[in-house]
Amino acid sequence: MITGRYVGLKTLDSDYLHMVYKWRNDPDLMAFYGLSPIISIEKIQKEIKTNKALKNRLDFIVLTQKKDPIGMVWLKRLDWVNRHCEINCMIGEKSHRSKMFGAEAIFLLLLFCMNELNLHKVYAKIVEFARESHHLVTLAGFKKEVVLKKMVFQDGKYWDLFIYGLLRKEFKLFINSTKGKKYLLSSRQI
Amino acid sequence: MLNGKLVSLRELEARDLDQVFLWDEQDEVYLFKGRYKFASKEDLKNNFIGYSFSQKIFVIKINQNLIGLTSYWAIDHRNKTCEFYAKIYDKNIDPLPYLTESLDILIKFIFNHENLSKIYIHISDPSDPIKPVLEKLKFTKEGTLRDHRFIKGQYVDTHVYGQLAKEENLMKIEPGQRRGA
Repeated sequence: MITGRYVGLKTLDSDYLHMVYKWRNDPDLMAFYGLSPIISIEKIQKEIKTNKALKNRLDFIVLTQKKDPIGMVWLKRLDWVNRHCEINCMIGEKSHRSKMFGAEAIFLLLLFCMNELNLHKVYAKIVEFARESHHLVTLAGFKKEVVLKKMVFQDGKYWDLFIYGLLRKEFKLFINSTKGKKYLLSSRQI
Repeated sequence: MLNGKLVSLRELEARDLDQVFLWDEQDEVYLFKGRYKFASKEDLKNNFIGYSFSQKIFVIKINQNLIGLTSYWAIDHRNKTCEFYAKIYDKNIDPLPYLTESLDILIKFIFNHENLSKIYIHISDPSDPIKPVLEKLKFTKEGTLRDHRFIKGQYVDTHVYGQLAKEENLMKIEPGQRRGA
């Protein structure tokens, strides 16, 4: 368990199957992740099991202080030679969106990536219309690196896909900044 | 077989693997493409079936002589995208005209037969001969992934280039917001 001030991250397991099922079947939410909004509970169960066995992927459930599950964060394409991975965040509970829960979950996961996994770089892929996600990663110090033109098909249109990157040295700068220190103090334990 | 004026492309077959292994021995292309070098001919042959199913690999030929490889992978049928690469391994020829025609054939095949609408390429080697070819074929540089590969003891940048199928083949994006955005 990785504990912060408002949220904690716990390895995803089948205890949270029904919550994941609910979020994964929300079409508006899934549009941001390029995932099908129609998926059976059996498929999700299998997916959780398969992903857990993968060496290049880590999934976490985001819990509030009261241990209520509100979303997920996950690392994929963990590349141990080039020492980077893709970071993803999904706050499934509408009532907890846009309230810094996602920001803290991302920050805790970044601390984990840099301090525990010893990665050199973390990157995020964000579709053009996910405005809050663009804001969130910029806030954490990510830099826009690539704009893949018309890369994602959603709602009958092609959209650009943005890739943001955060290097280890930039993250260090961020946690030494006033904003970063505030974040760091709020995450009590890792 | 896809034929051009200078070269022709056909799908990689088991009989080509000895040559592919030799190229892999001579060249360091595997470093820049982020894959491991094949440990042995057996390693390559044992993995050939799986390897050729996860991506389409073509040999580039002048008459009966193999001079290089081109391939595309990460085929995303929903978003109609894929990644590609091409390399002329024969050191006795100027790669530029052969690479240009090979890519031209490959791109037309991807757009006109596979019905994909976007292709992209990652380049980590600053002296990769494919770079001038991409410019010639009007690829757009879409950005740079900083420190994205660890090669010979240091992190290097990876440049991303992309090309869209002809505009008229794509649905137009109307100005305005997506629902819920």
